[in-house]
Amino acid sequence: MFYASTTQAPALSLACLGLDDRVEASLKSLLGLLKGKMHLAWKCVENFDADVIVYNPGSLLAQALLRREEKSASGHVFIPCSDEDPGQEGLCLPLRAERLLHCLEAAASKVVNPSATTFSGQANLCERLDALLQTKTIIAVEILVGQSSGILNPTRKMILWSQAIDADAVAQIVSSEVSLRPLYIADLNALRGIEHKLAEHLSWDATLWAIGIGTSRGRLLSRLDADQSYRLTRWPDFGLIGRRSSDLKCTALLTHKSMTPRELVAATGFSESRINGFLNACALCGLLEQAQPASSTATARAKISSEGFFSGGVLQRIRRALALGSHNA
Amino acid sequence: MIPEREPKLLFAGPMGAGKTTAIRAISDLPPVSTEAANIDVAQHSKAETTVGMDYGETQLDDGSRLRLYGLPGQSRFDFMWKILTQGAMGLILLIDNSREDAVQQMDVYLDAFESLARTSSVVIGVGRLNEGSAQISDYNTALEKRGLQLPVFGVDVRQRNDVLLLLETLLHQIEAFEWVSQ
Repeated sequence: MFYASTTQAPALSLACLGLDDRVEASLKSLLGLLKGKMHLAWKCVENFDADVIVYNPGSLLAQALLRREEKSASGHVFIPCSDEDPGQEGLCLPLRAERLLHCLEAAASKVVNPSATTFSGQANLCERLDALLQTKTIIAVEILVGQSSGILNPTRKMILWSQAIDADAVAQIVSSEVSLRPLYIADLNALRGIEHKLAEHLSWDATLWAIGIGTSRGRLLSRLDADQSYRLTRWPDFGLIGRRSSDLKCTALLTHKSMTPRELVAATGFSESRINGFLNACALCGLLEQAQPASSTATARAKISSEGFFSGGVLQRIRRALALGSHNA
Repeated sequence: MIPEREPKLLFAGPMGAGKTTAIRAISDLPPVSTEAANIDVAQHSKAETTVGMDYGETQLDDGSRLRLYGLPGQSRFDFMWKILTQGAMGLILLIDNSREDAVQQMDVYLDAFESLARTSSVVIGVGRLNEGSAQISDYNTALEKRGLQLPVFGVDVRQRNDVLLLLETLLHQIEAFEWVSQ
């Protein structure tokens, strides 16, 4: 059966969290095949504010977001996806169109508040925070998330939080229900008072990276230019941030050569949305700097290839042997 | 004789930094180690240490192997470093941050493996990050002084995923260097 209503209602957004690249590609392919066969249209996004999140139950971030959803009931629907059949409410690998259709229709009925899809006209958390951190007269930013709060001190690159660091805290921060309060030089005494009450240190890189990746909604920060060349000043600590293959690849490239966002898209083959999230995360962490355009023609070449190393693609063989390259959450 | 096409990966670092543990995390076979009683307790208090080298391997899908070599941590064995560096695709350098001279130790190894460092074929894993005074930024500053921009991550090599993070990063580094050098 085909439904005409798909062109009238706003599309529901769907994000994948912790899934293997191949599973993600398969899901997107099936979604394309199901176009027009569901009551509502769907679009794939790469942030965790999506209406529906298809997740790997083994992903710690997914577990944290799920627990947060259980507490806040903000209307996001989570669909587990794994090798073991999670039941009618979930997806079993390999993916089948019929089960996916059932799950998405069920999820659509649960999305009672579509406000998450009307946020596009406003600045997202990444943009709001970046704007504050770029304002020279601001000495710190207070973050209020539900009952907890924290302070970002850009001068000392320090984040103090009211509770111990864990995935839950990061999940709360990347949610859209965050209030930001700028503190100016006149608020110095207030800042000291607030900092005195906050005991837990959060990683600057890991927290801002999560905000950049998780809340960019695919948009490049307004202070960044798709035609400007950038380079990275150093590697962020992925030991704290976590292993995300696409971020590792982009970081390796941008520490070796300055590139524009468009060139990075062409070099990696990643979506513009993913690259924008990556660059925003770098910018938030203070790692991105403008650079002169690269003089060689390397960036004009096609996608980076592993086939040249040892004249036989040994890098790809190592990746296959150790299942590297599929970590994307 | 090792076939030319079989890649070789090195693990280096001072005594007790976790080289044997890291190799064990990704080797198909239990690593072959040449452990002996540690008589150099001034450097590290562990009972046994690697005096020759560790060896492990990972089977690749074309029948070849990724050969994993752990270099002895004591400086009196540093003559082996140059021998094993020949033909190596890259180096995972493990640093024990609980040592007072942790950042200086990194410099010692980067001096020894400068040719790999200059071709971006080195990644640095810092263990016991919370047990020492140095921060990751201190390592980055030391690298900057050398004109290097290498990845430095806080890791726990007992976690396989952390070892894979180092290895995957190294592969991306090699790939990027080769790409921009073409």
